Amino acid sequence: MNILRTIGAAAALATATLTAGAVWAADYPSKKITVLIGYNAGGGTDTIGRVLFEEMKETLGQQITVVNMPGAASSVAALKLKMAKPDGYTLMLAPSSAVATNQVWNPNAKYEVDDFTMIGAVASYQPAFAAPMDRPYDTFAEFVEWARENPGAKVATITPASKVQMELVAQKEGLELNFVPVKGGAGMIAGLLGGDFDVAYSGGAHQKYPDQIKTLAAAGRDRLAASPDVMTMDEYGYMSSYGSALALVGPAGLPEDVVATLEAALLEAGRTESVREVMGNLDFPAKETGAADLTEEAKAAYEAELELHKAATATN
Amino acid sequence: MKKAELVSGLVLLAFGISLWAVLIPWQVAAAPGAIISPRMMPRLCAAVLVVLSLVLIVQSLAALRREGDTSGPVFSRAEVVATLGVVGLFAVATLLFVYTGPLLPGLAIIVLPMLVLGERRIAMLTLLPAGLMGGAWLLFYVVLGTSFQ
Amino acid sequence: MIDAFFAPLAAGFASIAEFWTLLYICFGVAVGYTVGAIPGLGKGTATAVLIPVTFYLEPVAAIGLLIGIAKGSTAGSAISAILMNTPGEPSSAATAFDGYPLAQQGKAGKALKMGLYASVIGDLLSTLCLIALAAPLAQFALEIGPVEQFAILLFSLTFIGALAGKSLVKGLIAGTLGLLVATVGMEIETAVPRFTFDRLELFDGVPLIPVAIGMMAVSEMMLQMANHRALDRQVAEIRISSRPEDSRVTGADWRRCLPAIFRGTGIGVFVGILPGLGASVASFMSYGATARMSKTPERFGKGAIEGVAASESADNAVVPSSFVPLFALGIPGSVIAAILISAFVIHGITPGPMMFVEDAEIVQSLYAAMIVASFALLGIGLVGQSFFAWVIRSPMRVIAPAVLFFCVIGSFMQGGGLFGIGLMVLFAVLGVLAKKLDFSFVTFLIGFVIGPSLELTLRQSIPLLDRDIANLAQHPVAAVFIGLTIVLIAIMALAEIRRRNRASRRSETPLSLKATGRNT
Repeated sequence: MNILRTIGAAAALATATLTAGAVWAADYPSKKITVLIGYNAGGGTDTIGRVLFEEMKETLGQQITVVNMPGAASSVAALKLKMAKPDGYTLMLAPSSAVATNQVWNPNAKYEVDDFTMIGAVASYQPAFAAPMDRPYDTFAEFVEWARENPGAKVATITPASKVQMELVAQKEGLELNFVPVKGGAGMIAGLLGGDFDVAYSGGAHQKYPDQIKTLAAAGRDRLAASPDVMTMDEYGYMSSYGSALALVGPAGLPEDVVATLEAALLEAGRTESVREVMGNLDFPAKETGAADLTEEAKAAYEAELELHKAATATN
Repeated sequence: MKKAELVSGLVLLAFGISLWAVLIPWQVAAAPGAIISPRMMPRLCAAVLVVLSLVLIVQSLAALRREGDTSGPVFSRAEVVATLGVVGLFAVATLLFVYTGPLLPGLAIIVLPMLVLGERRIAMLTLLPAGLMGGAWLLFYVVLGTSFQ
Repeated sequence: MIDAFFAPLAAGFASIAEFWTLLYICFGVAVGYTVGAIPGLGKGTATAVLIPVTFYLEPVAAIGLLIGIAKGSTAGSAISAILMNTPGEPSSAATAFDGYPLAQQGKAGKALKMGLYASVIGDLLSTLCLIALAAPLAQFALEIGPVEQFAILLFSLTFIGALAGKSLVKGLIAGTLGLLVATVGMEIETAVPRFTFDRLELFDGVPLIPVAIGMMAVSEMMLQMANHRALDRQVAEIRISSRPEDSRVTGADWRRCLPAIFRGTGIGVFVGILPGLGASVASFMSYGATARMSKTPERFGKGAIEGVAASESADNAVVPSSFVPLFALGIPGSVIAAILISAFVIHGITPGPMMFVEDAEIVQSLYAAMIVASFALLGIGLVGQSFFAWVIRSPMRVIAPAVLFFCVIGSFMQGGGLFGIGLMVLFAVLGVLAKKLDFSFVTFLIGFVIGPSLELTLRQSIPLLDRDIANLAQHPVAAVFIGLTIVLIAIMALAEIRRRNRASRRSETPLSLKATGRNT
């Protein structure tokens, strides 16, 4: 009697779940989707995101609402995403570094890459080391020479990873550098244009001033789409930080077909003229990455950043 | 007021000392490699606070000795009640929000103070919440498509 | 000159002289003015929330709308500051100092009008600076590097002396506490979290809006609710006793206020072109400077109309000048500027030097729109004031719940949800303590607002000076300001000691202990 009841209950439960799941997935999306953005309105991520979602609304047939949740370079939003239900109605648009590498540097970002489902990316950041145009060096190697002869070169970085990169360079080449703290891209650009810094790490904004700022090296592993002649830190023989892409992310456990639907809609939106134009205006080269590749990249970025972090703590 | 100043001086002195001795070492890591420690600014504030609160204590002691405390209590009962009441109101509203969504806390925040302050006109008690919340709903949910989660 | 300057501008005016564009600009100003007047809501909320709407508009209308909101709300926040002692935005806190006492003396109309005129003049002059001098001003701003900025910020801290009210010590304590709270968050240079208690929400520091709303608006509501019977009676009395000069601005008022307005505009323009400082710093600095330079500084805090003029002209002058780095270089100097960049980009314009070449007509149309907005502000302000002055006559039992409601919305949206509400309540209680115990919450706000920039520029100055203070000689502007700071501190300390001696010698004849309407 008991066994029968248990089997009966289990069967009922199984049927219910399967049917619910089937109905669920087949109808996605059936209500409004909320996307978290870890920056304030007006930033590059937010701007591209809003245009992107205007397009995606057409494809998906549902309203997409943006909720700005700034804090800790998207980690606050990431943490909120981690706790959300994996039903495809809560997502996040952020640089992939937010979920791949932030946790390496920030012990309060209590999450792992596996806590998220990577859906896809449409653009890549162009991190580089740049300098004011009037400086007497044009490549990173020349900068190192100059810094050797002129101790006290002023270096500005806005991320912990880039600071570690420069510290390792200083250590390896025996340079004496002055590290200047900077708050955000705007302060860094102002310092470059004003000539206060000898070299600075930029997330991509430096490309807007080709007459006043020159690019010395690509900070990541891959050459920059906008400056293909510039060598990467990797090629120079220094440790590099992994690149980052503008990615759509969901909590772990998103059903596969939901991911597929979103990925298709995202990439399609990324090809539209309005999105391409905005990305071009903000100097974000378009670069499509599907869910599978993005997951690989995120994991690789995490490993690479761990190495960078280890090298940093080893010197301290 | 002089006695209240003395008390505040003492409280601030205690706070400044506990900042220096306990809070800063606990909440701010040391970062030995840095030129200026992250503890510098907080420590500076704590030190200034200690010095200034000592000055305040001395000033109020001197004034008390000279004139005695002629003024009455600083906080009236109504003010204490109002402050705690509003804090309580927000606490209740938060709980309501977490368990039932934005509608009930909104109503609570509007209607309860009205009642407590003596509003008895039924028309006002319905129109004001309806107007405020209706307006908010219209603007945020309908026109702009945002939501309060 | 005429060809280069006036002709294109005239073309700009021509292009916007069509109904819908003008309507959107005025709509922006009106929305901004209303939102600014309501404590708890601010231009940040309004602009961020209206951005999606601007997608569907033409570029000039869209950007004109957003700029109108910014101008309107900065001016509108004076209304609740003057009428309810509850600044609509942090930058109007200084306006409340003398504005509210004026209102209590039955001169609300005068204060409101002077506030509006000061706002419009500051706004218009600053807009003209933007139009005529964007490029040279932007270059000048680049010359003001971190070393100079540190010196200037340090100097502006001395204005705390003028804003501290009766007790310099308590004012300094409040300022120090402000600086302390400003250290919460991740320290930028070493990436070490400070006082975050493991909460990610505090990583970027304590957010300003819930703190400001709590300390200024909610605490004021708590106190006004406690005294609501007396206040309701007072409001009824104000309505009865009104001489005509009390609701107008007289020639004598203008004579007193014009210097303050020009000074405030200058300070506002200067603060605006430097990224990161903001309208609050400008209005506090302007108020402090005017109080300091006045021949009768004891009038401040009790209804000195120049205080209102100084504060309002400065904070409105910041808005257009904060677009200088945006238009000339593409660098956003403020939150509003960042939102504008977004709007520009979405409409296919890239702000920066190229904008003057590629989209020259749009730039001229925008300039024309901004000037129109300044005048619209005047008209809408005059109308709006009478409306709000009427609304404020409602009894406290209607006003307080409404204000609390708006405060909740504002803190929720701008402070990170429930965490923001919690902060708001905490700082509301602290605000009540400060007001009753006579600790100036304005010096607290100054410390809180200036603190992060002060520490950052200090940390930047040290490597930039190659850790050698002798290099300060290469930064003459900075050296001058640091020298001025030291001199000013010495003067203030001596004056305070002399005042204390005089007060204790006079203690046999008790002065009136509670000055009515004193407001720090």
